[in-house]
Amino acid sequence: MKIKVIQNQWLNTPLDTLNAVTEMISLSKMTQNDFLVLPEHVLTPPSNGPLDAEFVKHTLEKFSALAKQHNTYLVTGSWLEKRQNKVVNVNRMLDRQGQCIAEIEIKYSSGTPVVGSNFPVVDTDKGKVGMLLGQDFWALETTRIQSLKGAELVLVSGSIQQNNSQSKKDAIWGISTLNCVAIAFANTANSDMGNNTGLSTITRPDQVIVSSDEDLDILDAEWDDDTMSNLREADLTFRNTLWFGLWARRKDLYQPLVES
Amino acid sequence: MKVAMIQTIWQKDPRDNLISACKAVENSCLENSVDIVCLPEFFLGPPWYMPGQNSLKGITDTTIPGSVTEEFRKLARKHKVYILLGSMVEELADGNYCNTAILLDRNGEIAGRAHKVHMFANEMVVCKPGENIDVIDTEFGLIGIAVCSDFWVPETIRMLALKGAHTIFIPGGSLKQNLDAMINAFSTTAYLNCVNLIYISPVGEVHGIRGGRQITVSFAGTSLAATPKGILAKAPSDDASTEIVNISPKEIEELRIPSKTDDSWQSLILRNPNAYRYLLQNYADMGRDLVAETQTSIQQTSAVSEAINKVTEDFTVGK
Repeated sequence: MKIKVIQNQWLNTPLDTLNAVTEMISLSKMTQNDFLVLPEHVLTPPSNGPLDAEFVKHTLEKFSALAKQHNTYLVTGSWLEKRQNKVVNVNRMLDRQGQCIAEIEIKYSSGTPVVGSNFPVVDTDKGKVGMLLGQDFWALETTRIQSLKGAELVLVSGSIQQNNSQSKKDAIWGISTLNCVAIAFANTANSDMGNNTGLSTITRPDQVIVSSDEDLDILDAEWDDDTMSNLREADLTFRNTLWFGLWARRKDLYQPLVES
Repeated sequence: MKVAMIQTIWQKDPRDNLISACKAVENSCLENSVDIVCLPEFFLGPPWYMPGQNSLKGITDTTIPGSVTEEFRKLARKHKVYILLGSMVEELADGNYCNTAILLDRNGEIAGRAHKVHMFANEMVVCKPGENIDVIDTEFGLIGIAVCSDFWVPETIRMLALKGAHTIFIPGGSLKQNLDAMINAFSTTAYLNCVNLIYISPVGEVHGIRGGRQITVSFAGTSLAATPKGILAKAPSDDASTEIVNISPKEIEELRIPSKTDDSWQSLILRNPNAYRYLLQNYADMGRDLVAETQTSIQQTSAVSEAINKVTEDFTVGK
């Protein structure tokens, strides 16, 4: 399984950024790649408001062509769109033919973190994969639910800002360990246009595979297709114990977690 | 809140573990003016149900109340200190066993108890699991206790934090193969639940047969204390030690105040419980009965042990 995460930088206009992202993808070795993940607010800071419908269409066509050209699943990263007079943050997953197979939409509220209610898990030719957007990743329950549904890999279009950035970076691996799931987390690089800090990371439960600092970067990771299913299989010799938290649960006791 | 974390080391003769634990509690009270003294999981020594430890039945387990708790009640009263006896293999009146942590208050009374909820290894067959994940009201406010493997099911700490615990005590046993991932998962859990965590493990090793193979189980100390802001203390992996930490319930209260601009500490607030109903389902790929498999493995191990004993006896009498 081959995974790439793009940590791009915001440029002056969404079109400039889109062109730069496209170039980053084209320049990276995309042969036999399986999953490509782009960050939350990939093209422009959210403070710039929603993209217009024509530009969204153009962007999707471009990403769709890239997915097809490189025969890869592609998480487009998100941007703000206007839908029914509301501004929403939208993330999509495209399959190897460039078709949209999953979408997350979260209400956008200027400057205030908002959580969503849709944590899709999709069947791919590399097994079940979850997709998350933004703040949802930091609520422990979302990755948990996707892992419980059988996702062995979660693709996150996320953000890490200056406050406690190191704790958040470490928490990507921690969430991976606690849920016995691989995670590919994409954030935009540091720039003058916002306070994102990069720190994109690809991790498995047992180790961080690769991690960025604050600058532009393309992360690569590769492991055998059965690595995650082996880690998750109950091993009663207990040489591996990472599976335990998924198998030993007592679902009848967790009612308080679903109550307001 | 000043906490003494006592990382014990299993003595050669398990009967000595109680004496050394009492001595360590006494010393930490005399040398430091502490509020809570914490002992690790299995501070009385390896439980009889661990590989190769069958002969310890009746030695490293106890009834509660019983002679062990009585010793510590005296110490709690003498030093006016809370003591977490965490944990002991409790022999129940009906002949069953539980992995139980007890919190004694400054008067030596039982202020709270927690039974391990998520059974690990042979416990799946041998022990009765706890049925509650609840907080305990103390003079320091609400606290929680999660016994060892309960930590590895993240729902446990999440529930205790949501129920208001500012500090969660985790008597556990660190497995050698997982230390780096464990330490990081520990600080992640403190951060994302905005909670103080105190983890206390023994140091020790047992040898025995599991699933037909000779194995060693190593408990590698590494007791830890963390606040949401990071690791406060880390004990060595190979020796007894006492770590003293100051933790602040008030700081947790302050960090948990809702903020519109900083999501750093808001993971308890920025939730959408209505969307989390799948947490009430089992893991989708769970296609095996681990209790039945463990039962079979224990039976096979007994058969192998009996065969080995028989060969040894025959050899001894020169057959």
